[in-house]
Amino acid sequence: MSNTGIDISLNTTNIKTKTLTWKTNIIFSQFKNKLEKVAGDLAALYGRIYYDNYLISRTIPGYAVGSFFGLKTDGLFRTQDELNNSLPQFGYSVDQTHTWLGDVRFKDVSGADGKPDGVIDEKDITFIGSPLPKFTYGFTNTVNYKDFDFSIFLQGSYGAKIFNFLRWQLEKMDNPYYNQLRSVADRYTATNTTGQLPRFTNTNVNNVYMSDRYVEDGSYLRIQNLAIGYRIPAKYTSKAKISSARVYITVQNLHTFTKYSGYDPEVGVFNNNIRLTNVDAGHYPNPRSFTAGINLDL
Amino acid sequence: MKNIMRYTALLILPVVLLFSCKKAFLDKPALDSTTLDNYYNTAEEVRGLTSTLYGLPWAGYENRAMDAIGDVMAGNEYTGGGDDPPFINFSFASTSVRIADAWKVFYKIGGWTSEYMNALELKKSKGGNATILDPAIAECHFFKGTVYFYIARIWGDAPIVNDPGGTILSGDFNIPRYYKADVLRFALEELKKAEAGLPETDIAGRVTKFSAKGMMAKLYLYRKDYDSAKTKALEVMNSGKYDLFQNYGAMFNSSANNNNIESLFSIQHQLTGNPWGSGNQKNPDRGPGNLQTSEASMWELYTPSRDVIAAFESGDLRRKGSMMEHGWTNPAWKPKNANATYNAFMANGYKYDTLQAVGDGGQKNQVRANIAKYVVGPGSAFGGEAVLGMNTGINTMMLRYADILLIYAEAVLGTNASTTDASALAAFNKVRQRAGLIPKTTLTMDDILKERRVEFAFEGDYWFDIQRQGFAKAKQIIEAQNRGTFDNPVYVTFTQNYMHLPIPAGEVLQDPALAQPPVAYY
Repeated sequence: MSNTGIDISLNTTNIKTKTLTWKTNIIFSQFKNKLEKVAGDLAALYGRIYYDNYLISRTIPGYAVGSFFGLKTDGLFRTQDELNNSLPQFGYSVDQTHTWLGDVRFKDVSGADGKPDGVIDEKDITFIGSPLPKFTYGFTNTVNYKDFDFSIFLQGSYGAKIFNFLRWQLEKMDNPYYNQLRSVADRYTATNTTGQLPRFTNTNVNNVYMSDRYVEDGSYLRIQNLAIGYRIPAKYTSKAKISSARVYITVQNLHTFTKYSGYDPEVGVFNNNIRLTNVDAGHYPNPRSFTAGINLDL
Repeated sequence: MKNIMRYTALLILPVVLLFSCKKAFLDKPALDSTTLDNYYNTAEEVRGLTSTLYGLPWAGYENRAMDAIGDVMAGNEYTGGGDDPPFINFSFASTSVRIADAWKVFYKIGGWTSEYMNALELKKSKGGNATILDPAIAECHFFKGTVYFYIARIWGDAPIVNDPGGTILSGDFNIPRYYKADVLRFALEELKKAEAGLPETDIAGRVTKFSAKGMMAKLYLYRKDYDSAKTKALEVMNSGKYDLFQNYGAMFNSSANNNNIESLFSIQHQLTGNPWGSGNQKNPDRGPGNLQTSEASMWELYTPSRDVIAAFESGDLRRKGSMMEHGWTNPAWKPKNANATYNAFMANGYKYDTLQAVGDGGQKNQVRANIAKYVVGPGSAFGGEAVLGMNTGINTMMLRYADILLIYAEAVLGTNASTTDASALAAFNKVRQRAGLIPKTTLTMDDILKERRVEFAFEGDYWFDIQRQGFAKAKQIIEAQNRGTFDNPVYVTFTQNYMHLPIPAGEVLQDPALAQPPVAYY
């Protein structure tokens, strides 16, 4: 396995006068992870989820550790015509209990001889995303103006994919007794043929198979820390026999800019298993905390 | 069984010893841990190893896949939920979660037994006590044979991994599928070794020579080797060690009757949730919602199908032992909850009542019935036996004497259209008499199938009985079944590709040879 990359850290003082100081710190980190070689042709590491029943990642030569593997989706079957021209998916016939209107259409990417073979089966399971970011970055600004101080720390990650397994469960639509996300209201039905999500079915098992349907862009930019402080002038504090006093407000995790639909794109590793990196099966959310206080030096 | 972690560590040990590097300076014996040199010296140590095969590793199959495959697919159980209806409607695929679950269990046990046997053989070669080690090796053969028997029945053509350690070393993971007949033969060879090496008697729960003979008798039916099936069944019957347990229902509603006289092989459960899968988890999956208490979960994932309800003859005593229907009671169980009306309704014991309002003690599900087998009740605080949420301590019988009697009758019938053979009728009617039914005077295959369906309902077996009749007959049986609910009967179409289950997609991805046509093993 190889890891190559660069780290850049840049500290600048942009302004420095008697009353105003502005400092910036930028950190940029980029790396590429690749498995170079394993013992045999078929040797690989696998990541499995849901009681180890679904294969979700493969670590094989040429790919990053914990790369997501699954089917590629190609929208839904929305017309009878599309069904008539469909490829058999895992041996399914075209009827209501098998492949039907509102079901997910998968892409025929490969076959026995490495070329599309006109059927959708396990040979069409392919690379659908890497859980590792293309780069991560941090950006800190500190400004001091007279008795005021202000700092903001932004932190971000770009290019990592997240397997939103929580959404897999919450948009599964195969069990009327399970709670689901509100998004399932816009599922395919006979009267809502433009629905974004597949139909409800408890007979078609392919719709919920591991696919790029659940792979999302995990890029984000987070306002990790924001602090504002004010040093009370000495003429007031000295009367109270206090050598210095500073009032401040800080906010942790103020806001996250992301397209990720889960509640936190900073997923980490599921079950301490590197093969399940960025598999979001629910985790304790990053709290947002507000702190206000006074520093007193007597 | 509580020492599973320890024994698992011991299992890994010999593998490490076998495959570690050969530099002599690294071969210093460990002084502070167990090794093949200082362990497996006593019967307790050796039997501790094989005890791990009786419980936990079966959980993934026994808990749900066994219902989905053995009974839902067979038309004996109706189920809602998400993962099981494909087995009512025949729409499961290689992407199904239950299939992956079952696969994992059988190949795991197959692998464990292989490595256990390697370790025990190695110990023998190092001067270990053969009188202790050999029966344990035979025990491994029993489990290995049994799981490959299940593999052959479920998947038909399937891979055989006889030496997983060697496979790993070779680096060649292109393991093909072998013909079903060869997988069955492989299973039979294993069971023969078990038969040769197992003792005639052992402590309750441990498999014996007769467990192996019984499993062989069952397997011979799949090879249509009726003479051998008859011989093996007869050996069990003549041993005098097994009999029918007279109270049919009591075998399934209390752990007090674990390893009763009828049991040839049971999965041994512990009343614990740790490690997960040690307990029997059929109580919540089967028990009716109105039996739920603060001690026992109940969510009736699996219920009797309307078709199996109709299969019980009038007056069949097994009906109450197998199912709860309107009017079914258990005075000992006194479930309570926060609802006063409910508590008043259940004050004199548990009642299954479809007329009472649901919530106030009534129970009215889609099929108007619940499975009673392996439901041990609402917990010890409510008049039942101890339950830990989802877990109970009742053992699941995988092979029991009633099966041997019916196998014998079927083996005598063989390929004849019917039989009036006295010994076959005696065996068959013994089962019927316990059920309070009038004896038969002549037997056909349909009689036997009908009897087997009711006798073993909800025990994960009927699917295999249907399947071994061949496609034409299987199709006829399945398509005549009402697989729907009380209000909505459903009839399905059955096609040949559903005779066996597909190999899980994730497995084919790891071993593309599994997608190729099967080859010969022998």
